[in-house]
Amino acid sequence: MSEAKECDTIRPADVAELAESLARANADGLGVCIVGGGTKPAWGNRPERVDVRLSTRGLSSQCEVDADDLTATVSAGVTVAEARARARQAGRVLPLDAIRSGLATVGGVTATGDQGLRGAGYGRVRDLVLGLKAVLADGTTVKFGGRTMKNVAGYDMTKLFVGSFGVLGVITEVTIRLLPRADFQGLMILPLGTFAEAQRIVSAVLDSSLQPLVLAAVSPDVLTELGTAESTASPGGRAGVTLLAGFAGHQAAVERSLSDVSAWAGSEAAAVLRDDEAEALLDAVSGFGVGGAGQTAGVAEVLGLRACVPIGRVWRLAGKATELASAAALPLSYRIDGAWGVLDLWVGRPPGGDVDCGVSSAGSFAAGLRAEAEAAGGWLAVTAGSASLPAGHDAWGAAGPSLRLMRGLKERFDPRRTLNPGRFVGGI
Amino acid sequence: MSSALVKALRAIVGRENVLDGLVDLQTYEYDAYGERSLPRAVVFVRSTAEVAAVVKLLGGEGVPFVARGYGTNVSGGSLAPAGGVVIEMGRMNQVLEIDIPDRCVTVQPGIFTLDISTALAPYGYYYAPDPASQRASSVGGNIAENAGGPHCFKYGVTTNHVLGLEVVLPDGEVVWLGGKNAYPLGLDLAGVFVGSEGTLGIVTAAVLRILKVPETVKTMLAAFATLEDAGNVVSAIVAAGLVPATLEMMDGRTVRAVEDALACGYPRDAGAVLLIELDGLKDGMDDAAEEIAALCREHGALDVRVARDEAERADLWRGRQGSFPSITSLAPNYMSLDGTVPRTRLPEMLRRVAALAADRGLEVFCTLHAGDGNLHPCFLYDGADEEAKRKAEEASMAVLRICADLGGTVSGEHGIGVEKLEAMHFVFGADDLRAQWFVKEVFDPRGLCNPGKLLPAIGVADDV
Repeated sequence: MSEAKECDTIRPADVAELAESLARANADGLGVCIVGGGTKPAWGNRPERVDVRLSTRGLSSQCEVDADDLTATVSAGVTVAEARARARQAGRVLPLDAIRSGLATVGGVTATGDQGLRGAGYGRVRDLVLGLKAVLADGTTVKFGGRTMKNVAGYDMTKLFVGSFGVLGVITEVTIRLLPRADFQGLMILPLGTFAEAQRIVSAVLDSSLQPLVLAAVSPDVLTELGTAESTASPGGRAGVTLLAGFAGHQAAVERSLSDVSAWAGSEAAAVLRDDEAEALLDAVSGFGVGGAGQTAGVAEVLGLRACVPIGRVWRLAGKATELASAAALPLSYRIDGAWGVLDLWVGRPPGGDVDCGVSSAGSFAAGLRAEAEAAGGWLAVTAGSASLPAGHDAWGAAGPSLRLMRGLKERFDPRRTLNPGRFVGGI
Repeated sequence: MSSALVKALRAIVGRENVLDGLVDLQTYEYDAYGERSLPRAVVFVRSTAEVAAVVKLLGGEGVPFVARGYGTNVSGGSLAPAGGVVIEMGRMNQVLEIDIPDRCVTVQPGIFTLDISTALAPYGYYYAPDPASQRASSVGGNIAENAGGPHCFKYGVTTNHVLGLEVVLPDGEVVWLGGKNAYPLGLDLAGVFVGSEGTLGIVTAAVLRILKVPETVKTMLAAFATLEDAGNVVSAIVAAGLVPATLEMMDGRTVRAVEDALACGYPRDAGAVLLIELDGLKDGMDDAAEEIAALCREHGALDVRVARDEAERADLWRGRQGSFPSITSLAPNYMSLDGTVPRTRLPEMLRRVAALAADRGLEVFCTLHAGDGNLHPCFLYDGADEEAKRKAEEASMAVLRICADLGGTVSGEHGIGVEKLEAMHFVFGADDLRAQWFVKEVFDPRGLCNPGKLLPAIGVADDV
């Protein structure tokens, strides 16, 4: 918290300068914390030492959209919003939907593998990155993958780097697959009473030929906070869950999809947003959260968590989360990606409770929910507010026997533990 | 040579499950690539525990090994390493669990890839990756090669459908990489394992994503006078924002070979044909099909035909799936390539392949996963003629070099194996390769697991 000493921030203007600075830091035995847009400062463990903060924002020279080949090659420091705008001008979609895309960088999103609610249609970041360039701890520059959809030449090193939290190297350039722009888009907002109802509808979609762009749910307060309250009041004033089902494509297919969902739900949608309105709402939802730059709304501090479980089990986990939170009188907001089984949680401070009380109950909430997530075959990680957890807590949880391989890779790629030391799973 | 090693192997898997007689071993000395390498023994395994025990034993003796499915590998990836043992996975061929709520299936590696979808059919689901060899190749082999298939333009390749792998590491330890989660905890080890050509360990179980069978499929065949016209249509379809499930192309020579062998109704006089398939919701599909047909006509299509029923559709696909054997049966030997270029460079690439073949007096047949920019030129020759063989080899390397020069790569789906080790240098520098060696060294520090494949040696390793 307050003990962290002020350290230098360097912002190399190009890859050569970055490689040189990194090689020097590595030779001097310094710990380097890599920063993109600064939207996820508290994801994972706090690095065991930070002597230099390395900003990738200076790497912004390239944002090349190849509309016909459906690829974009982008410098790591370019923001997701900028790259998306570029693709849009070319009549394409850059399918990254990270939180706070106005600030988040393409490099940062690749390094964290963070995908937003449109992941149902876009796919995961790992599925979209065709190739990348990186600088290793000793200043060596490397390139992996390429610009083509299919590529099995050598090991698939891009998979290793996507979501690696900077512990193997600094990503400097990414080639991403683009999608065509759909003619029509429709987003249905459905207030529901229970997670079981949400799960039933999501299952019906997954069990159909529908191809959703968004298959998600949020706690009702998320939309209220974002000022779209009119669309979220649940029928009869029930507390509940708000389902977001979005489709993009041919108009007839979108209409048919919306009407199928409506029929399965058996209730009226609060709203159906079209095209730009739908886009705007989804972008706004990605600004909700706690901690980090660019947050537009959210609960009053304390704790952010992300869990991932097999997709059929995410609803039960969400139910457990609300039970545990309500037993501890902790305000809870959440976002669920029903297509990939990801649950984001933001825990607030109990009303009237003091900070310490919030801290201890947030700690036991996180521990209890992690046990549930692990029992379901998944994991739970801390994305914000680790200061409110007991000292020595692990932001990730146990990785199992494969941790040996992760440690081996860390040792090979970064033997002096220069890059984000200790931040990722198992302290790598 | 019923050595102590063979005795020890038999103690693990039973006497009848180890082959060491010369004639038996000769059955396993080749895969679908041309070269041969006689294994020291072949071991049939039936469980993860047996694989682990066998691998441990071989490790203790310092004997290299390779896991083998059904030997359909076309880059020599499943050839036995010198003095090595083949671990035959074909008996581990069961579906272990169908988990509809979590939309995944857990299978053993020796299952034929097509059998996975057959097992899922009663539930209305399927496993998307569909390499042309899906009737004959194992999913374990598909995972090792990160196999593609005609439908990957829309659905992605094998790696996009693998959630988790149970793996026997080269030291005999059994670990799970990933699981049923869409996102693994920590580094994406399953991600780097898929496509590692059996050099990092042996898959003993795989959790695969499953998809709902689409409600409608529309298959069409368009004929063109030239490859160039067909290539331009592919670009036009993509530029128009359409996403067919498949965009397959073959040249006129291939069309005639297919017709001679299979008589499936392809137009014999065409210079190229495109096989296009749309799938998804029925709503809007007719419009999309009409738009594609219009684009084909605008670009000079001689004929556009839409399959009217399942029988016609099956015929169109029969031609595509049978194209490789139809070509390769025409000469004693063939060299089939697997380059990839950015899609818009396909017409140029095809021109250059044709010129290069003409220069050397070689016959070339081209099939392409055009949507992905993945092309398979196939040179025919008679291996008894040394000169012809040399020419074909030269032409092959030249093609891969052009792919690299045009911004593509030297293997889209067949793998590097032993065939393309040299070509790795066309796309990767020494530092890039060194980083890949880091992975090999971490998983397989002793270098016993399918050595000599995928990664070329680089200079003097300063870290040994």
